[in-house]
Amino acid sequence: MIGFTAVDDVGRVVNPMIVAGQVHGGLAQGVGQAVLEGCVYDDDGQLLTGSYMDYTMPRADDLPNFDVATQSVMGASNPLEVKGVGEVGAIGSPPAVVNAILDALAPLGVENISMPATPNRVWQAIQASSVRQAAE
Amino acid sequence: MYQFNYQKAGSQDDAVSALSSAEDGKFLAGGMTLIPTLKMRLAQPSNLVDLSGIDGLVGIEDGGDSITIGAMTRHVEVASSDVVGIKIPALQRLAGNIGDPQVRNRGTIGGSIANNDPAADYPAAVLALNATVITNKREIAADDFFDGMFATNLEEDELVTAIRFPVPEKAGYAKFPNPASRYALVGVMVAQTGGETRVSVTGAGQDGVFRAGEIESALSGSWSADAAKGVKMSDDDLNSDIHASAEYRAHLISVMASRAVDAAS
Repeated sequence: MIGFTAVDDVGRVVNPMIVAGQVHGGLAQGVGQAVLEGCVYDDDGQLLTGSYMDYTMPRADDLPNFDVATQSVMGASNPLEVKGVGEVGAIGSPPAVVNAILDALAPLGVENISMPATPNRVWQAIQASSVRQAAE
Repeated sequence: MYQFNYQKAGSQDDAVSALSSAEDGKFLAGGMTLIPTLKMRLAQPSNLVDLSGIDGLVGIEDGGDSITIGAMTRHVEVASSDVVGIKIPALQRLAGNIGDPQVRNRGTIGGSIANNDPAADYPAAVLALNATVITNKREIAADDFFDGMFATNLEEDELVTAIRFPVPEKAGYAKFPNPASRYALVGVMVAQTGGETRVSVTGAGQDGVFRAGEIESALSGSWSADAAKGVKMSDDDLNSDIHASAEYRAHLISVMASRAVDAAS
């Protein structure tokens, strides 16, 4: 991932630094959902991703620099004209990341991949595709 | 964590006798595996014998055509050593990419190889560089040291004191880190030393680190990234877990071997 741009409508921006921080955190969560984070259980119901040695929480060096901006329409429901900003970055980021992966895999005919799209899953999708192509 | 007795050894003999007289003692080096294991109550040793107070186990010695690294030398010291950087840059880079800064400031080379975690980085270096493991009793060749997952041929009361690495003509290491733990999902070291080509693989084998004879043959014929990448590894005896299937690991071995050749110097 080489870059990430996010634009959100948060109503009136009261504290720009806190707004940017909330968006950064949300983007990290969203990227984590898209490519890193997943709870895995075995057949007996035992959690296999029980620690951060196995559960991939997004960390700073997993992420690119974020380019964030607001394009606000003032909120009409309250006198401060604010809207929510908590975790707003987590809404658009998973589909954005997964669509970027699918765009890269489009020449191979891959149209779907489950989250988190780990390296193993991306590789499997590529393998399955070349098998199909070879059969044609 | 269960209760245990803590003893800080003042000498090698002190450490060995403390361990021998303990009901179920363990040497404590950097503790990067042992302490989490205790915290999760996966082990219940009666005694921990701390090695950090013993003189002479820390340091990097330039022996001309070899480098000798004391067993209690921390990863960060290897990663920041000029001698290692000049003579075996691949080993310096390997040490600099182990775990995270906290692990590199505590973990030790002796602890890493004595533990022989199947996904640890250092065992790959010991095997590919044909290092010699020096203990309080003898010297053990790399090929005779590792004995399967989390197992070595060390005796019960045997203490690793240093590891001697011959300086290779060239060597390179590439690892595909597990994104969560930063252990090697697959790590490959390639090396040419005294005309001999050796290739070791960590993170992938069910029995821990191993030599990839197919890639050694390919690189002996032609030392090139393409030669390494052209080898199709079998997925027999490879690990399959929630992070990577055996098939994917087999694929990664060839890819990491080719990257290691590209990185070799």
